[in-house]
Amino acid sequence: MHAETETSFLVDLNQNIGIVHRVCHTYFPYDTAEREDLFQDIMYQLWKSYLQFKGESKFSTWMYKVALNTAITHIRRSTRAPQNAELTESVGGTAHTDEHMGRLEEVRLLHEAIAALSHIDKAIILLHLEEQNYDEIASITGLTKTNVSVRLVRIKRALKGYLQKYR
Amino acid sequence: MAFSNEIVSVWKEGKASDEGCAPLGGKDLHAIISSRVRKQFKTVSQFVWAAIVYQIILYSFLTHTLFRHWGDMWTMLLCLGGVALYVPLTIAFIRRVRKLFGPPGAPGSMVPDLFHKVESEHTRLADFFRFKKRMDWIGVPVSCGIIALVTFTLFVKGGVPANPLAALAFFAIWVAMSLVAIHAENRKRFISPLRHLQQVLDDLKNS
Repeated sequence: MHAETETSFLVDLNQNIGIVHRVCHTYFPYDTAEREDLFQDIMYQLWKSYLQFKGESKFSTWMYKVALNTAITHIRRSTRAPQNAELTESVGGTAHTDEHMGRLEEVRLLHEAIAALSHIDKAIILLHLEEQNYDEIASITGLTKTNVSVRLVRIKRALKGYLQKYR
Repeated sequence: MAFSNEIVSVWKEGKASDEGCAPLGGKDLHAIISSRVRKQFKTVSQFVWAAIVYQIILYSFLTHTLFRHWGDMWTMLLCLGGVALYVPLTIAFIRRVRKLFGPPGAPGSMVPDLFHKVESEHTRLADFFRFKKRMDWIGVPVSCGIIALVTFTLFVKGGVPANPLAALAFFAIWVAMSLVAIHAENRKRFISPLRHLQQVLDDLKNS
Protein backbone atom coordinates (compact mmCIF):
# COMPACT_ATOMS: atom_id res chain seq x y z
CA MET A 1 0.00 0.00 0.00
CA HIS A 2 1.35 3.46 -0.94
CA ALA A 3 1.94 6.00 1.82
CA GLU A 4 -0.85 8.24 0.49
CA THR A 5 -3.38 5.40 0.35
CA GLU A 6 -2.32 4.30 3.81
CA THR A 7 -2.91 7.78 5.20
CA SER A 8 -6.39 7.95 3.69
CA PHE A 9 -7.06 4.42 4.98
CA LEU A 10 -6.08 5.45 8.51
CA VAL A 11 -8.29 8.56 8.33
CA ASP A 12 -11.34 6.54 7.16
CA LEU A 13 -10.56 3.77 9.63
CA ASN A 14 -10.20 6.02 12.66
CA GLN A 15 -13.47 7.81 11.86
CA ASN A 16 -15.24 4.44 12.06
CA ILE A 17 -13.04 2.43 14.41
CA GLY A 18 -15.93 2.02 16.87
CA ILE A 19 -17.53 -0.36 14.33
CA VAL A 20 -14.67 -2.82 14.72
CA HIS A 21 -14.80 -2.63 18.51
CA ARG A 22 -18.54 -3.22 18.55
CA VAL A 23 -18.33 -6.20 16.18
CA CYS A 24 -15.58 -7.72 18.35
CA HIS A 25 -17.57 -7.08 21.51
CA THR A 26 -20.71 -8.61 19.99
CA TYR A 27 -18.97 -11.86 19.09
CA PHE A 28 -16.63 -12.12 22.10
CA PRO A 29 -18.25 -10.20 24.94
CA TYR A 30 -16.38 -12.00 27.73
CA ASP A 31 -13.10 -13.15 26.23
CA THR A 32 -10.59 -10.29 26.04
CA ALA A 33 -7.85 -12.33 24.34
CA GLU A 34 -10.19 -13.59 21.59
CA ARG A 35 -11.60 -10.09 21.18
CA GLU A 36 -8.12 -8.64 20.69
CA ASP A 37 -7.27 -11.43 18.24
CA LEU A 38 -10.43 -10.75 16.24
CA PHE A 39 -9.72 -7.01 16.31
CA GLN A 40 -6.30 -7.59 14.74
CA ASP A 41 -7.77 -10.02 12.21
CA ILE A 42 -10.37 -7.45 11.13
CA MET A 43 -7.72 -4.73 10.86
CA TYR A 44 -5.62 -6.99 8.64
CA GLN A 45 -8.59 -7.85 6.40
CA LEU A 46 -9.59 -4.18 6.15
CA TRP A 47 -6.05 -3.22 5.22
CA LYS A 48 -5.88 -6.02 2.61
CA SER A 49 -9.27 -5.17 1.07
CA TYR A 50 -8.99 -1.37 1.16
CA LEU A 51 -7.86 -1.14 -2.47
CA GLN A 52 -11.08 -2.93 -3.47
CA PHE A 53 -13.16 -0.20 -1.86
CA LYS A 54 -14.39 1.89 -4.75
CA GLY A 55 -16.79 4.12 -2.83
CA GLU A 56 -19.89 2.39 -4.28
CA SER A 57 -21.27 2.08 -0.78
CA LYS A 58 -20.65 4.08 2.39
CA PHE A 59 -17.27 3.36 3.99
CA SER A 60 -19.05 2.26 7.17
CA THR A 61 -21.21 -0.26 5.23
CA TRP A 62 -18.10 -1.69 3.56
CA MET A 63 -16.40 -1.85 6.95
CA TYR A 64 -19.31 -3.75 8.50
CA LYS A 65 -19.18 -6.22 5.62
CA VAL A 66 -15.46 -6.93 6.05
CA ALA A 67 -15.68 -6.97 9.85
CA LEU A 68 -18.65 -9.35 10.01
CA ASN A 69 -17.23 -11.66 7.32
CA THR A 70 -14.03 -11.85 9.35
CA ALA A 71 -15.84 -12.36 12.67
CA ILE A 72 -17.98 -15.26 11.40
CA THR A 73 -15.02 -17.06 9.81
CA HIS A 74 -12.78 -16.24 12.80
CA ILE A 75 -15.15 -18.11 15.14
CA ARG A 76 -14.67 -21.36 13.22
CA ARG A 77 -10.90 -21.11 13.73
CA SER A 78 -11.23 -20.28 17.39
CA THR A 79 -10.38 -23.22 19.64
CA ARG A 80 -11.85 -21.69 22.79
CA ALA A 81 -15.12 -22.69 24.43
CA PRO A 82 -18.24 -21.28 22.81
CA GLN A 83 -19.49 -17.96 24.12
CA ASN A 84 -22.89 -19.32 25.13
CA ALA A 85 -21.28 -21.55 27.76
CA GLU A 86 -19.65 -18.52 29.36
CA LEU A 87 -22.93 -16.66 29.12
CA THR A 88 -24.76 -19.29 31.16
CA GLU A 89 -22.16 -18.99 33.91
CA SER A 90 -22.34 -15.24 33.84
CA VAL A 91 -26.12 -15.18 34.01
CA GLY A 92 -26.18 -17.77 36.74
CA GLY A 93 -23.78 -15.80 38.90
CA THR A 94 -25.71 -12.53 38.61
CA ALA A 95 -27.98 -11.25 41.34
CA HIS A 96 -31.15 -9.96 39.69
CA THR A 97 -32.47 -7.24 41.96
CA ASP A 98 -34.98 -5.27 39.91
CA GLU A 99 -34.93 -2.10 41.98
CA HIS A 100 -31.17 -1.61 41.94
CA MET A 101 -30.62 -2.41 38.33
CA GLY A 102 -29.18 0.74 36.84
CA ARG A 103 -28.71 1.80 33.25
CA LEU A 104 -25.35 0.03 33.03
CA GLU A 105 -26.97 -3.17 34.14
CA GLU A 106 -29.48 -2.74 31.31
CA VAL A 107 -26.63 -2.39 28.83
CA ARG A 108 -24.94 -5.48 30.24
CA LEU A 109 -28.17 -7.44 30.06
CA LEU A 110 -28.73 -6.39 26.45
CA HIS A 111 -25.23 -7.59 25.56
CA GLU A 112 -25.94 -10.89 27.30
CA ALA A 113 -29.20 -11.29 25.41
CA ILE A 114 -27.41 -10.60 22.11
CA ALA A 115 -24.66 -13.08 23.03
CA ALA A 116 -27.29 -15.82 23.27
CA LEU A 117 -28.37 -15.30 19.62
CA SER A 118 -27.04 -17.23 16.61
CA HIS A 119 -24.07 -15.77 14.71
CA ILE A 120 -26.25 -14.40 11.90
CA ASP A 121 -28.87 -12.98 14.25
CA LYS A 122 -26.08 -11.22 16.14
CA ALA A 123 -24.96 -9.61 12.90
CA ILE A 124 -28.49 -8.52 11.98
CA ILE A 125 -29.34 -7.00 15.36
CA LEU A 126 -25.94 -5.29 15.55
CA LEU A 127 -26.54 -3.66 12.17
CA HIS A 128 -30.07 -2.68 13.18
CA LEU A 129 -28.91 -1.15 16.46
CA GLU A 130 -26.19 0.69 14.57
CA GLU A 131 -29.00 2.25 12.51
CA GLN A 132 -28.21 0.60 9.21
CA ASN A 133 -31.32 0.52 7.04
CA TYR A 134 -32.87 -2.69 5.63
CA ASP A 135 -31.17 -2.20 2.25
CA GLU A 136 -27.77 -1.92 3.90
CA ILE A 137 -28.39 -4.89 6.19
CA ALA A 138 -29.49 -6.94 3.18
CA SER A 139 -26.42 -5.96 1.16
CA ILE A 140 -24.07 -6.81 4.05
CA THR A 141 -25.63 -10.17 4.94
CA GLY A 142 -26.75 -11.32 1.48
CA LEU A 143 -30.33 -11.80 2.71
CA THR A 144 -33.37 -10.23 1.05
CA LYS A 145 -35.01 -7.17 2.61
CA THR A 146 -38.08 -9.24 3.46
CA ASN A 147 -35.95 -11.85 5.22
CA VAL A 148 -34.15 -9.16 7.17
CA SER A 149 -37.44 -7.68 8.35
CA VAL A 150 -38.91 -11.10 9.29
CA ARG A 151 -35.78 -12.06 11.19
CA LEU A 152 -35.63 -8.74 13.00
CA VAL A 153 -39.14 -9.30 14.34
CA ARG A 154 -38.06 -12.77 15.55
CA ILE A 155 -34.83 -11.43 17.09
CA LYS A 156 -36.58 -8.59 18.91
CA ARG A 157 -39.09 -11.09 20.30
CA ALA A 158 -36.22 -13.27 21.56
CA LEU A 159 -34.45 -10.27 23.11
CA LYS A 160 -37.65 -9.08 24.76
CA GLY A 161 -38.23 -12.54 26.21
CA TYR A 162 -34.69 -12.69 27.54
CA LEU A 163 -34.78 -9.22 29.06
CA GLN A 164 -38.14 -9.81 30.69
CA LYS A 165 -36.88 -13.04 32.18
CA TYR A 166 -33.76 -11.56 33.78
CA ARG A 167 -34.92 -8.04 34.67
CA MET B 1 -42.03 -0.31 18.31
CA ALA B 2 -41.67 0.85 21.92
CA PHE B 3 -39.41 -2.08 22.69
CA SER B 4 -37.39 -1.38 19.54
CA ASN B 5 -36.80 2.20 20.63
CA GLU B 6 -35.95 1.03 24.10
CA ILE B 7 -33.20 -1.35 22.99
CA VAL B 8 -31.80 1.23 20.57
CA SER B 9 -31.59 3.72 23.42
CA VAL B 10 -29.94 1.15 25.73
CA TRP B 11 -27.51 0.27 22.94
CA LYS B 12 -26.62 3.94 22.41
CA GLU B 13 -25.99 4.28 26.11
CA GLY B 14 -23.54 1.39 25.98
CA LYS B 15 -21.97 2.83 22.85
CA ALA B 16 -21.43 6.19 24.54
CA SER B 17 -19.53 4.53 27.37
CA ASP B 18 -17.04 2.94 24.98
CA GLU B 19 -16.71 5.85 22.55
CA GLY B 20 -13.20 6.61 23.78
CA CYS B 21 -11.52 4.06 21.48
CA ALA B 22 -7.96 5.16 20.84
CA PRO B 23 -7.26 6.00 17.18
CA LEU B 24 -4.88 3.73 15.34
CA GLY B 25 -1.56 5.21 14.17
CA GLY B 26 0.68 4.08 11.30
CA LYS B 27 3.03 2.27 13.68
CA ASP B 28 0.18 0.38 15.36
CA LEU B 29 -1.18 -0.63 11.97
CA HIS B 30 2.22 -1.90 10.79
CA ALA B 31 2.64 -3.87 14.01
CA ILE B 32 -0.78 -5.50 13.51
CA ILE B 33 -0.07 -6.31 9.84
CA SER B 34 3.33 -7.87 10.65
CA SER B 35 1.87 -9.92 13.47
CA ARG B 36 -1.01 -11.16 11.26
CA VAL B 37 1.33 -12.06 8.40
CA ARG B 38 3.48 -14.04 10.85
CA LYS B 39 0.39 -15.71 12.29
CA GLN B 40 -0.93 -16.65 8.86
CA PHE B 41 2.46 -18.09 7.89
CA LYS B 42 2.51 -20.10 11.13
CA THR B 43 -1.03 -21.40 10.49
CA VAL B 44 -0.15 -22.49 6.96
CA SER B 45 3.11 -24.09 8.16
CA GLN B 46 1.33 -26.00 10.92
CA PHE B 47 -1.34 -27.12 8.52
CA VAL B 48 1.12 -28.23 5.84
CA TRP B 49 3.37 -29.85 8.43
CA ALA B 50 0.52 -31.83 9.97
CA ALA B 51 -0.78 -33.03 6.64
CA ILE B 52 2.57 -33.70 5.04
CA VAL B 53 4.25 -35.42 7.99
CA TYR B 54 3.66 -38.90 6.56
CA GLN B 55 5.18 -37.86 3.28
CA ILE B 56 8.23 -36.42 5.06
CA ILE B 57 8.70 -39.67 7.01
CA LEU B 58 8.35 -41.63 3.81
CA TYR B 59 10.76 -39.49 1.75
CA SER B 60 13.36 -39.49 4.56
CA PHE B 61 13.06 -43.22 4.99
CA LEU B 62 13.27 -43.95 1.26
CA THR B 63 16.22 -41.64 0.53
CA HIS B 64 18.13 -42.86 3.58
CA THR B 65 17.60 -46.50 2.55
CA LEU B 66 18.45 -45.74 -1.07
CA PHE B 67 21.88 -44.25 -0.23
CA ARG B 68 22.61 -46.78 2.48
CA HIS B 69 21.95 -49.73 0.16
CA TRP B 70 23.28 -48.18 -3.04
CA GLY B 71 24.01 -51.04 -5.47
CA ASP B 72 21.33 -53.41 -4.15
CA MET B 73 19.10 -53.32 -7.24
CA TRP B 74 15.88 -54.64 -5.64
CA THR B 75 16.05 -52.19 -2.69
CA MET B 76 16.95 -49.30 -5.01
CA LEU B 77 14.00 -50.10 -7.27
CA LEU B 78 11.64 -50.27 -4.28
CA CYS B 79 12.82 -46.89 -2.96
CA LEU B 80 12.75 -45.16 -6.36
CA GLY B 81 9.33 -46.69 -7.10
CA GLY B 82 8.02 -45.35 -3.80
CA VAL B 83 9.38 -41.85 -4.47
CA ALA B 84 7.99 -41.88 -8.04
CA LEU B 85 4.59 -42.90 -6.73
CA TYR B 86 4.49 -40.20 -4.10
CA VAL B 87 5.91 -37.16 -5.94
CA PRO B 88 2.69 -36.52 -7.96
CA LEU B 89 0.66 -36.73 -4.75
CA THR B 90 2.93 -34.19 -3.03
CA ILE B 91 2.73 -31.81 -6.02
CA ALA B 92 -1.08 -32.09 -6.14
CA PHE B 93 -1.22 -31.51 -2.39
CA ILE B 94 0.93 -28.35 -2.53
CA ARG B 95 -1.23 -26.97 -5.37
CA ARG B 96 -4.38 -27.54 -3.35
CA VAL B 97 -2.87 -25.94 -0.24
CA ARG B 98 -1.95 -22.84 -2.27
CA LYS B 99 -5.52 -22.68 -3.57
CA LEU B 100 -6.94 -23.10 -0.07
CA PHE B 101 -4.83 -20.38 1.53
CA GLY B 102 -4.59 -18.09 -1.49
CA PRO B 103 -6.79 -15.01 -2.01
CA PRO B 104 -10.41 -16.20 -2.42
CA GLY B 105 -11.54 -13.90 -5.22
CA ALA B 106 -10.05 -12.50 -8.40
CA PRO B 107 -7.77 -9.47 -7.82
CA GLY B 108 -9.82 -6.30 -7.57
CA SER B 109 -13.08 -8.18 -6.98
CA MET B 110 -15.61 -6.72 -4.53
CA VAL B 111 -15.89 -7.84 -0.92
CA PRO B 112 -18.63 -10.52 -0.88
CA ASP B 113 -21.65 -10.35 1.40
CA LEU B 114 -21.84 -12.63 4.44
CA PHE B 115 -23.79 -15.36 2.65
CA HIS B 116 -21.39 -15.56 -0.30
CA LYS B 117 -18.36 -15.31 1.95
CA VAL B 118 -19.48 -18.23 4.14
CA GLU B 119 -20.54 -20.21 1.07
CA SER B 120 -17.17 -19.74 -0.65
CA GLU B 121 -15.25 -20.59 2.56
CA HIS B 122 -17.34 -23.74 2.91
CA THR B 123 -16.81 -24.72 -0.73
CA ARG B 124 -13.04 -24.16 -0.54
CA LEU B 125 -12.64 -26.12 2.67
CA ALA B 126 -14.99 -28.94 1.61
CA ASP B 127 -13.24 -29.17 -1.76
CA PHE B 128 -9.84 -29.48 -0.08
CA PHE B 129 -11.16 -31.98 2.46
CA ARG B 130 -12.57 -34.18 -0.34
CA PHE B 131 -9.16 -34.09 -2.06
CA LYS B 132 -7.34 -34.86 1.20
CA LYS B 133 -9.60 -37.83 1.95
CA ARG B 134 -8.97 -39.25 -1.53
CA MET B 135 -5.25 -38.67 -1.08
CA ASP B 136 -5.28 -40.36 2.32
CA TRP B 137 -7.14 -43.38 0.95
CA ILE B 138 -4.42 -43.87 -1.65
CA GLY B 139 -1.43 -42.47 0.19
CA VAL B 140 -1.73 -44.14 3.60
CA PRO B 141 -1.91 -47.79 2.42
CA VAL B 142 0.76 -47.15 -0.24
CA SER B 143 3.20 -45.48 2.18
CA CYS B 144 2.59 -48.07 4.89
CA GLY B 145 3.02 -50.84 2.33
CA ILE B 146 6.34 -49.43 1.11
CA ILE B 147 7.61 -48.98 4.68
CA ALA B 148 6.62 -52.57 5.59
CA LEU B 149 8.13 -54.00 2.40
CA VAL B 150 11.45 -52.14 2.69
CA THR B 151 11.76 -52.81 6.45
CA PHE B 152 11.19 -56.55 6.02
CA THR B 153 13.46 -56.76 2.96
CA LEU B 154 16.33 -55.08 4.82
CA PHE B 155 16.00 -56.07 8.44
CA VAL B 156 14.06 -59.36 8.62
CA LYS B 157 15.66 -62.56 7.48
CA GLY B 158 13.76 -64.01 4.49
CA GLY B 159 11.82 -60.79 3.95
CA VAL B 160 8.05 -60.70 3.40
CA PRO B 161 7.79 -64.15 1.67
CA ALA B 162 9.22 -65.90 4.76
CA ASN B 163 7.15 -63.84 7.29
CA PRO B 164 3.82 -62.95 5.65
CA LEU B 165 1.79 -62.75 8.87
CA ALA B 166 4.34 -60.61 10.70
CA ALA B 167 4.59 -58.31 7.66
CA LEU B 168 0.80 -58.04 7.50
CA ALA B 169 0.61 -57.23 11.23
CA PHE B 170 3.36 -54.60 10.85
CA PHE B 171 1.49 -53.08 7.90
CA ALA B 172 -1.82 -53.10 9.81
CA ILE B 173 -0.26 -51.39 12.86
CA TRP B 174 1.20 -48.63 10.64
CA VAL B 175 -2.14 -48.14 8.89
CA ALA B 176 -4.03 -48.04 12.21
CA MET B 177 -1.61 -45.51 13.73
CA SER B 178 -1.85 -43.32 10.64
CA LEU B 179 -5.64 -43.51 10.59
CA VAL B 180 -5.92 -42.48 14.25
CA ALA B 181 -3.63 -39.47 13.66
CA ILE B 182 -5.44 -38.51 10.43
CA HIS B 183 -8.86 -38.77 12.04
CA ALA B 184 -7.87 -36.47 14.94
CA GLU B 185 -6.36 -34.00 12.49
CA ASN B 186 -9.39 -34.07 10.21
CA ARG B 187 -11.78 -33.48 13.08
CA LYS B 188 -9.83 -30.43 14.25
CA ARG B 189 -9.11 -28.84 10.88
CA PHE B 190 -12.02 -29.91 8.69
CA ILE B 191 -14.99 -31.65 10.31
CA SER B 192 -15.62 -29.10 13.09
CA PRO B 193 -14.98 -25.99 10.95
CA LEU B 194 -17.15 -27.39 8.14
CA ARG B 195 -19.93 -28.13 10.61
CA HIS B 196 -19.75 -24.55 11.89
CA LEU B 197 -19.86 -23.09 8.37
CA GLN B 198 -22.75 -25.41 7.43
CA GLN B 199 -24.71 -24.25 10.49
CA VAL B 200 -24.19 -20.62 9.52
CA LEU B 201 -25.18 -21.38 5.92
CA ASP B 202 -28.30 -23.26 7.04
CA ASP B 203 -29.16 -20.37 9.31
CA LEU B 204 -28.85 -17.96 6.38
CA LYS B 205 -30.85 -20.21 4.03
CA ASN B 206 -33.65 -20.80 6.53
CA SER B 207 -34.54 -17.12 6.76
